[in-house]
Amino acid sequence: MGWNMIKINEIHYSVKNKGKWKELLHDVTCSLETGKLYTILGEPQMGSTALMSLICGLETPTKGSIMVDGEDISLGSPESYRRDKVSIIHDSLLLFPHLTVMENIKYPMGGDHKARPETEEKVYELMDLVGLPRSYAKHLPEQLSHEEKLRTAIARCLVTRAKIILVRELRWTSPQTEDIISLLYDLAHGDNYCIVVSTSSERVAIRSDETFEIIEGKLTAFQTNTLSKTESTTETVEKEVVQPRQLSRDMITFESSYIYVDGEYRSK
Amino acid sequence: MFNIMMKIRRTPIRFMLFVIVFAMVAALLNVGLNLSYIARKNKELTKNEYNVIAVLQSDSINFEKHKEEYEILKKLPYVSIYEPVQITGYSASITLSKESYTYGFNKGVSFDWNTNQALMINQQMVIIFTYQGDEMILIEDCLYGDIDCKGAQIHVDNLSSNKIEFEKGEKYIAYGKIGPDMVTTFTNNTMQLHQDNYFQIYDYVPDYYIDDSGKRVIDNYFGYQGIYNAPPDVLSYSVEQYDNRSDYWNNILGSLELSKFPVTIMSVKDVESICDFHQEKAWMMSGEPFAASDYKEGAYKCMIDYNTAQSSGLKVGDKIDLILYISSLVYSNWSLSPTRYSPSHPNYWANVLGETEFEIVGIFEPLKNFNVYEDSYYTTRDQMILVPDQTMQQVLGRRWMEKLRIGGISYLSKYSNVVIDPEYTKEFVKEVLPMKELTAAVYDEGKYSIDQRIELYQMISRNLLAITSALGILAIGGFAYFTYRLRKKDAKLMYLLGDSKVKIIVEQLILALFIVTPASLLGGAVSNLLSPKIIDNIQKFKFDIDVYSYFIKGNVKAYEFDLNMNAYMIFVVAAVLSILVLLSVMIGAARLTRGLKSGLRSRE
Repeated sequence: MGWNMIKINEIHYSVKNKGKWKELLHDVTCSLETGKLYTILGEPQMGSTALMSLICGLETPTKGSIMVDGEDISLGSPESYRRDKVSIIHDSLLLFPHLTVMENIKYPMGGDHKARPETEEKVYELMDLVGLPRSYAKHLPEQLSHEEKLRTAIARCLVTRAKIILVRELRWTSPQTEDIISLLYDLAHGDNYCIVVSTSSERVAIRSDETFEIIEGKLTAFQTNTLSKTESTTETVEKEVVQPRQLSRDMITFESSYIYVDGEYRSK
Repeated sequence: MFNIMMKIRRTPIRFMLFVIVFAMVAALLNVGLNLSYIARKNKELTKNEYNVIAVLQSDSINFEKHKEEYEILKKLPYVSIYEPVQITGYSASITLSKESYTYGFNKGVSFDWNTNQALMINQQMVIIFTYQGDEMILIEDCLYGDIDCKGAQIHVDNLSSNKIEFEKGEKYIAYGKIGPDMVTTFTNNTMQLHQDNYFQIYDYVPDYYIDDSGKRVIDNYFGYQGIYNAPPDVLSYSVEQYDNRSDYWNNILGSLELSKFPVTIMSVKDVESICDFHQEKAWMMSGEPFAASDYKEGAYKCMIDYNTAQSSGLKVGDKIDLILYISSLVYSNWSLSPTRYSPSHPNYWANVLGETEFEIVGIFEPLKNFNVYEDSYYTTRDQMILVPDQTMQQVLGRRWMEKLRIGGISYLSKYSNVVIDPEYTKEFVKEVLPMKELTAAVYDEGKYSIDQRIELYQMISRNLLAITSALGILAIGGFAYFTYRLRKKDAKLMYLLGDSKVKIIVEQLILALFIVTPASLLGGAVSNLLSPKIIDNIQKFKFDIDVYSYFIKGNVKAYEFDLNMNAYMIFVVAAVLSILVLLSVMIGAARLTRGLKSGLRSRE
């Protein structure tokens, strides 16, 4: 059982849009523990991204507070908070294009550490952990697939001491995304990380320990998915399709794009 | 720093593109600044030298008025008529506002074929005054003090509208020109124009009468002469230099005296077609005429007249060096005899267009009693050297051929003043006299009219500037866009990973410095190397136009404006480009700092 890593206390958050204030979050309260994978589900404009921005320390709540590891994040420096307390992955801003995989992973370690041999060894170990071949160390991001970029970004998170990993706007781009979700799940449960993923795709939420959605500014638990988390998600799509009440547009799209044949997904 | 170094290393092409764009801007700015500086400096120098009190107003040649005649003329072969004529003079008056002092003067030129005296037309009036006590003293009125006035009057607009306060002891100078009206006083139209070192328009305009059937019959030709003033850099001469008794002019005269052996060169397309040979007014003494291949290939061979050969000790097979030597005045005949040669006029502009070795292939003797009045302009005479036309074109280049033709050198002996092998003269020319050449563009065929030339010039300038501006703006727009897109993404990720804003901005600035510094140095260095050439060309080309526009507009302000136009235009373009760069950087920086959060907050 983990401990309460993030405590969100009655926060409100409003943004000004075309001269009018719009309340995106209204009296949101929750606790997020280590050792769990959380998903905040919903379209960005509905408030999920706003909540992630608040947890990332990019924004300040209009009212209420966010406690991380027992400290109010608004009292300290947001930069040091992002550097030391949390690791952030942004799905459309994963890596520096001009740095290699090795250099990207080492980036948060700061000047001196980058040059040490033991640092490189540590990076290699992390690459093993996230499932990246060591031979990729000298590759530039443009040579990697999206999934491999995500793995690199995850390795970059692990290089820091932060026990919170925030994954913003994770998209379901291919069947391999599921491997990423599994990796995050394993990290949360195996290495006791508190991982929060925001997404607009229900499919991403399949393996979450807890899934939230924001309805009219309030954080509510998502209707429990009838899909078993322990069940292999590599089963046929047909199995999912037979439960249309739980299918979102993402899943329908997915269903229409892929079929499961001979033990693997194939594009139609 | 690591991040920056990696960025530069991994994206070398983009980096180089940025450097090149900035280098172009830096180069343009540098040239513009140089141009602007030089223009202002020249203006100041001129202003400091004299107080320009007036420029005599004179109408330019009215082409519209004579358009019809001009059209007729254009269909005619080249016209040149030689008759004995007394060319009358000119006059001008300048009214100075203070004390209503009016100074008028008359000068004239004379010409007599019989005595072989030089034909001289003064293309310039320079009046230098000073005040001694309350009395205005004329220091120098013009360069040709020894020319007798023959009296025809031209009344140039006075300057009463110019209110000028004269100061005692100060030097004042006024510039004037003779207007085209002068030539209308010629009864029998011939003018053999001077060769100045710039250009002039010399058009023969036919006079006509209408016969009984109402048809126009060309009766006569009037030579319309557009004579343009001495170049503005004459302004930088001192009063002493204007004094033809001064050391300055004595030196020039002394040097000219060394040129004892001028002869006339006539370029020929076919020696045997010259009527003199047909009519047995000239014959070969030794050697052979040019072979057909000589004409075709432009062989460096010449035929020389017997007298010249005798006096210079030349024979067939010898080689001689010919140097073109152009004066601002045309001397109808230059004597070979040193005793007869007396260049009495100091306004002498010369150009040596290279020294070329010719082999003498034949020696001919023209008829002794050469009659200049004869109705043949294509004739031989003493002190003449014949060369193949093609050869002469090679030696001089087309522009000088054109220049000389425009200059109205009589008959086809276009190269009237040629000095044989005077080494010292060549040195003298280089050291003492300014040498100027016109650009080929000015002498494009069919572009002789003032308006056409100005139009041409303006078109070229505008096109050049438009292209430069368009390219510059395009390049900077692309640069700004990509910089913004790329930088913002990088910077956002840095911000997301906990880097401080200060660090991000410093890093971006260092990156910008990495681009801007070498680019500025490169652009500056390259443009410094090229600047003199660019400026020289622009100003040389501009200069020719200025001389026109100066007189068309008839005032110093217009001239100054024109002189600076190029500099200012280029400077403005460069400034606009620089401002665009600055703006793009500023906008980029502003959006960078604002966009750090807003981009991440994204789509709420």
